[in-house]
Amino acid sequence: MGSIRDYFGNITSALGTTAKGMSVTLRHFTSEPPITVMYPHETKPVPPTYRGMHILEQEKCIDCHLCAKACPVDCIEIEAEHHGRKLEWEKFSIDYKKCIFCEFCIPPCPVDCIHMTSEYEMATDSNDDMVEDLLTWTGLRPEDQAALDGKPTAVQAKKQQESKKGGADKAAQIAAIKARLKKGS
Amino acid sequence: MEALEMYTVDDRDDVYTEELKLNLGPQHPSTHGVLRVELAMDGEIITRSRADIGYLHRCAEKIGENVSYLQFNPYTDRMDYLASMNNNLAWSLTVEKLMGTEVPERAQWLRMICAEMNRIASHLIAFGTYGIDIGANTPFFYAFRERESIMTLLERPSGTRMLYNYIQPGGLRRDVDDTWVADVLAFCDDFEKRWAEYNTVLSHNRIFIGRTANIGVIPKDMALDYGLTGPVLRGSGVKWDLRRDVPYLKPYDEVDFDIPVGEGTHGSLGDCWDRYWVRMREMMESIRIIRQGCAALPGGEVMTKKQKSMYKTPIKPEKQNVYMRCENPRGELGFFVAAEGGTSPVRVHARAPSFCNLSVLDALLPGTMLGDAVAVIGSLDIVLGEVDR
Amino acid sequence: MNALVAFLSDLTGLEGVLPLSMAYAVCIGSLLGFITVYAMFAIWMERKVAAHMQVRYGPMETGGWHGWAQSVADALKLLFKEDIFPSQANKFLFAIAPAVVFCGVFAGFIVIPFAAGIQIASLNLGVFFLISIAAVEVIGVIMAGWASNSKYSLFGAVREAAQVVSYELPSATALIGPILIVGSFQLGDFNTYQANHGWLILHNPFMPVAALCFFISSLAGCKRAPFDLPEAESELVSGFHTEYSGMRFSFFFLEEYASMFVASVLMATLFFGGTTLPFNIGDIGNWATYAERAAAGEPSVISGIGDFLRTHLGIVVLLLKTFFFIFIQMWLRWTLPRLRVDQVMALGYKYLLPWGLVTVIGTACFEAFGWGWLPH
Repeated sequence: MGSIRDYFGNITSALGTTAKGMSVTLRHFTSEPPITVMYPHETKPVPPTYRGMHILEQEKCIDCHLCAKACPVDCIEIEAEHHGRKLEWEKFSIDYKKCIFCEFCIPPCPVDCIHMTSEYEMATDSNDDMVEDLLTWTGLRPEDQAALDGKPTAVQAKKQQESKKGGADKAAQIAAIKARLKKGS
Repeated sequence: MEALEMYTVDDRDDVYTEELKLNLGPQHPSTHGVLRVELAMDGEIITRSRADIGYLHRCAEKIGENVSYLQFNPYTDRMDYLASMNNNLAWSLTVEKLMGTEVPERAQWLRMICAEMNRIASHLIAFGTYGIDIGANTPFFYAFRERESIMTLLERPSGTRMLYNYIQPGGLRRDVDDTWVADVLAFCDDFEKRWAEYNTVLSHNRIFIGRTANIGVIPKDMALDYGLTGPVLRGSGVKWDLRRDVPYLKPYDEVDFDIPVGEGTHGSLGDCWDRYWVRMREMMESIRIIRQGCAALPGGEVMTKKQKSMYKTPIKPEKQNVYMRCENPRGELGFFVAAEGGTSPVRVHARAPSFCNLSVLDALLPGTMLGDAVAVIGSLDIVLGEVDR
Repeated sequence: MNALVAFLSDLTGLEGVLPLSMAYAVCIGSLLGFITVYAMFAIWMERKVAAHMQVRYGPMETGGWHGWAQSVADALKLLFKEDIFPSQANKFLFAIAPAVVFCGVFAGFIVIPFAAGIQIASLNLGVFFLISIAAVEVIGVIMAGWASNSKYSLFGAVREAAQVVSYELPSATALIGPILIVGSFQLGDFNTYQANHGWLILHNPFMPVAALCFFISSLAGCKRAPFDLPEAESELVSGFHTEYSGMRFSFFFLEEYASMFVASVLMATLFFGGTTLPFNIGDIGNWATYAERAAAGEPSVISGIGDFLRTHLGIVVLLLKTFFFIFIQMWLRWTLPRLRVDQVMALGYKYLLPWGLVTVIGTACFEAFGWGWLPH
C-alpha cells in the first residue's frame, strides 16, 4: 500500500514541483529585466575607493621607498638620485604582471602622493607594456637643473656614457647569459 | 602516491572484463577547480576512487615565511577566494592574538557583518554551481544576481569585488560610507524574496531531490572521525559551529541566530540534500545576523592610530606558537603561526576546511554511479585554492 | 510529390526518370534548406530563451538586432574549423557517424504534413515510419561514441543507446490512442479528422495523459533535458560528441534540433489539430478540400487565391504550434535538473510505459463504445 502511495506521490510531486519551477523561470522570462551591463558599450560605475592602476604625484614624492617595502610582491621599482633636497628621477615603475592590487602601498606614504585610480582597463599585448612607469617627467626639473650650475649630475653623465657605447654592452650581457644557460643545461 | 590499479572483474575463458579507469579532471566542468579524481569503474558503478590534488599549489605557506605578517593578508585572500573576508578575518585574529591587541568595537561589528555577507556570497556559489552539477543551469544565474549585489556592496568600503584585503590585523582598512548600512539592509529585504525562489526552482524540485537524497551519506561518527567541519559536519546532525561554541568574535555572542543542522528530511541523515539544505538555511541565518549587526553598529574608529603604524613599521611578535580558528563558509579555517621575534613568521600553516573535507571523498564514492560522484563532490563544497594553497 | 513530378514534366517536356529525379532533387534541396534555416533560427531562439530566463540578454552583437546573425556566424565558424581526428579513432566510423545520425532524422522529414500538397511522401504508414526511422540515429550515436576512442564518449554513447531505445516504447504507445481514433497511420488523415471533429486532445480524458506521455518520451528521444545524460555537460564534458569539432559536430547539433522539430510536429499534428485552427475557423489548412480536388482529378498543388491562402496559412498555423512546443521543450531544459541513468530507465519503464498502455486501453474503450467527447 505504501509503495502505491509512493508511486502516485512521485507522479504528483514530480509534476507539481516541475510546474512550480517552470512558473519561476517563466516569470523571469517575461517580467524580470536582464541585469547584464553591456560592456563595453556601458560600464558599471566604480566607487571612489576602487583599487585600480596607480597614479603618482611626482612633485610631492620624497623617494622614501616605504611603498616599495610595503608591497607583498615587490612590484614597485624606484630609482632616483638625491641632490640635497632635490630629486633627479629615473624610474618609478609598477610591474602590473605582479601587482595584486592590495593597496598596501598607499597607507605608508608619508606625503600622500601615491593613489589608486579607478582605471582597470589595462590589457596589452606584450609583457613589456605591463610595466608602467608612473613618472610624468624624468631627470631634474628645469629650475633644479639651473640651481646645479649647469654641471651634469652623475646620472646624466652615466647616461651620456651609455649612449656613446651604444648597444655593445647589452649584446655582451645577452651573450653571457646564453653561455651560462648552455653550460647549466 | 601510486595510481589506482585496475582489478579484473570477470576472467572466464571467453570473456575478460577489467575495471575501467576514468579520470575525473583535472580539467572538468564539475570538479570545482583543478581536482583530479581517479575512478575505477565497473560499468557505471564506481568501485574505488582516489583524489589527486596539488594542481593549484602556490606555496602560500612557504611565502608566509618570507613576508611580513601584514603582507601575508592578501595571500590568505587567495586561498579560499570565494570567502576572502572570512580568511582575512582568521589571519587578522591570529596576528592580533600574537600581538595581544584589541580591536575597536565598531571594527568588530563591521567585521562580523562583512564576514556574514561573504558567507552568503560563498553559499550562493555553492548553491549555483551545485545546480549546474546536477544539470539545472538557471539557478546559477539567479545566485549570481544576488552575488553581484553583495560584491557591489562590499566593493564600496574595500575597493574591489573579490579578494578584499579589507579586514586587516588591528581593525579594518577604512570605515564604510554613510549610506552603506541602509543599502545593506535593503539588500537583506530583497534577498529573502529571492531565497524563496531558489527553493521553488531547485531545492524542492523532485528531480533534484531524487539526485541528491540518500547519496553520499556521511554518518555522524564518520563525520567526526574524518575531522569534517562546517556545513558538511552539520549536515550529518552534529550541532557544532565555532561562532557559538568557540567564540572568536565578541559580536557573535550578542546576536541571535540558529545553527541549522541536517534532519534527514528526504532520505538518510547526512546525505547530499541535507548538506545543501544546511547551506541554504545558513544563508537566512546570516541575513538575521547582518540585520542585527546593522541595527547595533556602534560608532567610533575602525583602527587605532597605534595599529596604523604597522603599515610603516612591520610588527615583530615575541617568540610563541599560536593557533586561531574561525568558522568559514566551508568549515573551520585555522592558522598556526610559529613566531620567533622577526618580522616574518618562521612557519605558517593553514588548516584548510576544504582539504580536510575532501579526505572523506575516497570513502564516499565507492558503490555510487558517475552522476552521483559529481553530486557528492559538489555537496562537499570544496575550493581548490584552499585544498592546495 | 506526384503533382510535382507532373508539374516538372509539363515544364520540361520530358518523361520518365528525369522529371522524377529532378523532383527528388527539388524536394531534398528544399528540405535541407528548410532544416538548416530552421536549425539556425532554433539555436538562436534557444540562446535567447535561455538568456531571458537567466536574466541576461543572449546574443546581441552579431548582425545588430538582438544578434540574429549569431547562428549564421557560428555556422561559418564551424565550416572553417580544422577537421580533427583523434589519432587512435576508427576513421571510417568516426566519419560516417554524424551522417548516420543526421540521415535518420532527415528521412523522417519526408512525411511531415506541412500542407495538403506540400508533403513529400504521403505514406500510408506515416506515423509508424516516422517513429521507426528516427531510431536509426541510435546506431550513429553508438558509432560516434565507440569510434572516438575516448572513455567519456563511450559512456555517453552507452547511456544514449539505453535511453533512446527504451523511450521508443512509451513514445509509440502513447501515439496509438490517436491512431485508434482516426483509424489510419497517414499523417494527412489526422488533419482531416481534426478539422471535421475537433482537436484530438479533447476526445477523451486519456488523450491529455497520452499527449503528456508522448511529450516526455520525445524529450528523452531527442536527448533534451531533463534527459540529456548522453551529453551531460557537467559530467561527461560533452558525452558522445566530445571528440567532434567543426562541421561534424554541427551535424549532431542539427540532428538534435531536427528531432525536436519532428517531435513537436507530431505533438501538434496528432493532438492539437495540425494545420487547422480550433473549430476549423476559416477552413484553414483543411486537407479535405485538397482531397476533393484530387478526387476530381486536378493535379495542381494549389489553385485559386482562396485555396492558396488557406493552404499557406495552414502551414503558418502548423509552424506556430510547432514552435510553441519547441519553446516548451526549451523552457523545460532550462528549468529542470538532469535525471540519473537509472532514474531515466525507471521513469520510462515504470511510469510512462504503463500509463501509455492505460491510455491505449482507455481510448480503445471510448472508441468501441462511442463515448468520445468530440462530435461525430
